[in-house]
Amino acid sequence: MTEICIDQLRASLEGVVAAVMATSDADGVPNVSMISQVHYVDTERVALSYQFFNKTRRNLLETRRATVQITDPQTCQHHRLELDYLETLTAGPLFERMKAQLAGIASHHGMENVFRLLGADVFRIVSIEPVPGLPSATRPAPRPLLAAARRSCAALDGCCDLEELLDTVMASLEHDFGIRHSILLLVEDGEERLYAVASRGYPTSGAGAEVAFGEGVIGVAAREAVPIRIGHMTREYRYGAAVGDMARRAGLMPETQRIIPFPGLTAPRSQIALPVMVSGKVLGVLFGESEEMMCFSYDEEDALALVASHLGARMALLRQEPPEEDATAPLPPVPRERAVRVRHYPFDQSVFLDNDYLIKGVAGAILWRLLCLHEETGRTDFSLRELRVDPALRLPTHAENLDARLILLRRRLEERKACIRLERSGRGRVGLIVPRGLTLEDAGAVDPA
Amino acid sequence: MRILLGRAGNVALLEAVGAGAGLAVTFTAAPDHRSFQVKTSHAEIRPATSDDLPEMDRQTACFMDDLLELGFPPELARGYVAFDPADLIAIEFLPDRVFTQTPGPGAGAELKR
Repeated sequence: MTEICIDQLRASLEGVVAAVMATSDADGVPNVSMISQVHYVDTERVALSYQFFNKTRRNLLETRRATVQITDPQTCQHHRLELDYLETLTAGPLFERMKAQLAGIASHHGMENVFRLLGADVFRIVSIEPVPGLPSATRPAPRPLLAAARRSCAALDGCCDLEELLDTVMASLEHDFGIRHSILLLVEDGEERLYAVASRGYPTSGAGAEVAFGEGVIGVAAREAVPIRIGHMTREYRYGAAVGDMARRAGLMPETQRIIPFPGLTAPRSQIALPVMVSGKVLGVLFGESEEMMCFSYDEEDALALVASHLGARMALLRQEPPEEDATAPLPPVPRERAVRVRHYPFDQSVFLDNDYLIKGVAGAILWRLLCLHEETGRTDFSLRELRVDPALRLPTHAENLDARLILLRRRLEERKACIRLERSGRGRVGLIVPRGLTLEDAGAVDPA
Repeated sequence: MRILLGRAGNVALLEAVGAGAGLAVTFTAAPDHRSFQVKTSHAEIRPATSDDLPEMDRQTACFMDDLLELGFPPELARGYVAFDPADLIAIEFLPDRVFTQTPGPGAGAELKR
């Protein structure tokens, strides 16, 4: 291995200053071109974006050798990398990471329709050589990211339940990393879709908002189980389109659109999405964004990946069935003058309060079940255990996200200022607060298709 | 064509040209990526002179303006165009072939004389 390690040069691999690539054909005729992206793979490899089939490409396939000059955007120090071509990847995590970044770079340079990633050319680094030049600006002291990650992890260790954990991770992102806008999404059991369960720094919580796998940096991070970040925002990675399409395909009428808007910034410039994994499975995505360009570097990604990983481990621990507390006294009903009709559509488990869409899916099914049980028995206090095994709910055997659904449901009810409320009535229990004069109406097993 | 470059940072290149190697040079406009590449089979190494400096200053000033317009911070733009006059050396050649290199369809096409 060379004396200089590519790990120390990752600031030069952010695509701020275009890199220069030199190749030659078999006869030794040189070719030199600008290249948008030199991507860090690991301590021994980098990947270059393959966008066009051109002379560079032909030379590469012929000689399998290249030299690339990279530039640190803060110190202007150049380095030359001597590279050996290994392979071209056209799918998978590395490809998707580069594709997202390239889309941001392209958008920033007004080349959205020109720069397209055809492949990630992976190279072995043969040598790294600093290019002598004029001493330039010194690098400003970086934010101490290890300390930030350690503080965040310690804060997560102090949390006793899922809701506290979710709120704490977002507070930590703000206090320890300066990320003021963040969302935590969880994967819908057995589906290629995520729903927002907590957020910070937006006018609305967006609890329940959905993101499809593959959509935006969040959806790609979930599908590929790899962190995705963008330093310049691009239309290609915006949210809303795919979920809107799903709704249209489901044949929903516009006036009853069962969609909770994504809470994100309208003009983000930097975004990062980190998969939250447990035992190799993506549980959710931790997402942060900013209106500033190039907010998240390789180092920030590493530090945040540690926090996301710790979050996953803590979530897994908290999922183990908590000891149940005894039922509390029935909660008093909320006085209300006007009758409210709750309507339930079994085909998508959506629940409407009068004519206003509230929630759908598993969270909708749970709310409807609680309301029915309340109507039949007058009970206002329920244990999570009974919901987990309730045959009427038919939750998946390992309904891992029941806690999360209840958090989402409670926040959604609060946000809609609904007459129904959910409260934590003790460990492993949930309390239902309903007004008098609630009428339940089941729209029957109507298939809209 | 007369290309000015730093000696210290281009030792291998200067050795190769001195030994008779071919040369490729790509020119890119920072704002819109319009680019072209020239190639030659033979080039000469010449000393840089004080007569080169006014044109160096003019071109680096223009390049720096482009970088600032693109949103580069001034200290980065300054660092990117900085050079040491004492380190300069020149390469002279007649281009054999010229290619367009602006990204997109048509990149790499040879410009006929």
